[in-house]
Amino acid sequence: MIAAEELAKIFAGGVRAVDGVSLSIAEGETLGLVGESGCGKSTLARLLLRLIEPDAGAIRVRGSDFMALSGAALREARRDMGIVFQDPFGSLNPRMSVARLLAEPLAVHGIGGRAERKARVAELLDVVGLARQHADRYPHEFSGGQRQRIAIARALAAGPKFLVCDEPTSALDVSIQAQVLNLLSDLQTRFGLSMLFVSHNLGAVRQMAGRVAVMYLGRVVEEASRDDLFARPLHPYTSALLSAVPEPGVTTTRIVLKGDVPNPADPPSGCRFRTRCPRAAARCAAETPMLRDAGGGHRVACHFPGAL
Amino acid sequence: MTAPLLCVRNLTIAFGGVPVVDSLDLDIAAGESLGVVGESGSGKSMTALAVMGLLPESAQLLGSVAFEGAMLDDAARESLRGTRMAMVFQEPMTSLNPVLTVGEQISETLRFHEGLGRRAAERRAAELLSLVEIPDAARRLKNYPHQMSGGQRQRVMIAIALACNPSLLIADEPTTALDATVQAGILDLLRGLRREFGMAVMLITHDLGVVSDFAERVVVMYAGRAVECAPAASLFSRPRHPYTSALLAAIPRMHGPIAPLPAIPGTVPLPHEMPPGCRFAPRCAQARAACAVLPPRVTVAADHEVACVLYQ
Repeated sequence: MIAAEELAKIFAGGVRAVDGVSLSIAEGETLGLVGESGCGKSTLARLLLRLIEPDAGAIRVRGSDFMALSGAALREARRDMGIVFQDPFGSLNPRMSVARLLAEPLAVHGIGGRAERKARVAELLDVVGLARQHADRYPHEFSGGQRQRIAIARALAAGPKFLVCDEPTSALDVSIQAQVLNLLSDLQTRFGLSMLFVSHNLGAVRQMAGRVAVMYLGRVVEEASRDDLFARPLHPYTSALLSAVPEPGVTTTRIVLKGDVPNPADPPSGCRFRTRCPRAAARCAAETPMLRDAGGGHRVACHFPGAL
Repeated sequence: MTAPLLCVRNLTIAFGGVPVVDSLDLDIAAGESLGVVGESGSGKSMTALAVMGLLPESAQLLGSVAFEGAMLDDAARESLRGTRMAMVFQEPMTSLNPVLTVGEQISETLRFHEGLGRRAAERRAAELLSLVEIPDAARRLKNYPHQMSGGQRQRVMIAIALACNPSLLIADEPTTALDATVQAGILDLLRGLRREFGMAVMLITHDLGVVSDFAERVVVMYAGRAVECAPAASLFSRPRHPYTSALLAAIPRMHGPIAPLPAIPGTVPLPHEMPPGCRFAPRCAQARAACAVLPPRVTVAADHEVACVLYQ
């Protein structure tokens, strides 16, 4: 569906937010993207839709060059794409009724006439589990979970094939998070969506994604099928990250990392994780590890991969 | 239990006549770690603010709070706050003053409460920063908050809270704004400090994983009331209240089979729309007619209390 090669984005001050990331998402597949604050996962999500323009790299959507498009052609291509943001309070215009919020993408893409758009709004409300009479209300009249449903309906309005979800449940309570995750799963199956599911919540990613990529300081350090990644992490950072998540009623041995994430404007030489890695050696400072297949499509960027 | 360090009885907090915390009882023993867990609107943070005497003036307060055996009134809270009891908040960036160095902010506490001179306060501030495991403490004292990472800022907040050796530390979502690996470090630090100083910690969080990891005893709150209170081991191995069970089941897990999550239908009722009787009943799969009256508090196992008619 979508493939990116060597994507890079450098922000003011030389911050290498995304630094040479390649990934692809197949039709109907959900790729999970995990990492901690500042690792570049949200920037990467926006780069894929060109909501932020990459400084380098290529993006292909269904085989054709997405980077070459502009103006009307770019808008046309974006009809196949949608995005759901973290904050359902900030992402919906408070002055627009739900009906207008959901009809706006249809108008932008010139889809349908008045009556057809009205019918589509009703259909979208059904799809995300809201009542049709909600159409005349405004965002402030809804709870956080309902607002996120509106944001999802809006992202789906033009009938996209590729949906980016950027921390879609991070602002929600646990009981509401479960409702929204179930809804996204259902929609993914029902419409055969390709999905990029970005989250710092590893449990949510495991719930949603068939394949998972882990980012650290602007790079993908590991990528594998869900089961492989959670059961047999090969990168020391992934091991540490998985071990750090406390689960109710489960006692785990934690791998505690030393120090903080380095400044992304001045990342360490070689492997960017080496300053905190319990396994770092001289080679890690000298030579940047490339993402390599360790067997069965399990890719890892580490000179000394394996369980910690 | 011997006389508890903190003893909250029948605490009700209301705004404009609408209660947000309703008839809450809560005890913390000296040196104990108590987790208070609940979702938005459960009243967990309000409870902490009430204990500390930090509620806005518009709040109406009923019930009693006793600390170290003495009833707390406003004057007592004033003198205990920052000395015998201290608090750490969620957002270390907004609770620190951006235009003062962290050294000045730690020293300020020491000079105000302990009456230390400038030099002595500075020396003690450096000790405190080392205590919260910030390397190169003497130099870092000269940093402003923006020059530190989120995890380090939270360590500074903890250092300020520890300045006068409190016997109770209230930590309100101390790791919620932090990444998992940083969170692990902060929880380890709090655990170590608790052990070292025999300080009781009341940890307020929405994260059942964090509670399970940190607390010896847990209070589960829902819509302003405590619904279950138990030792952590007992609560997580055998939750009794339908809300606790449902909440645990709704968390996407790191292990085991993957299936649709058993979500809790509906949302938390708003404070002015509370149902009579059990407040979880409208969302509860096991609700029955008896839930329309105030649920009884039943002791189901050693130190394990649940407010639900199922156990009557």
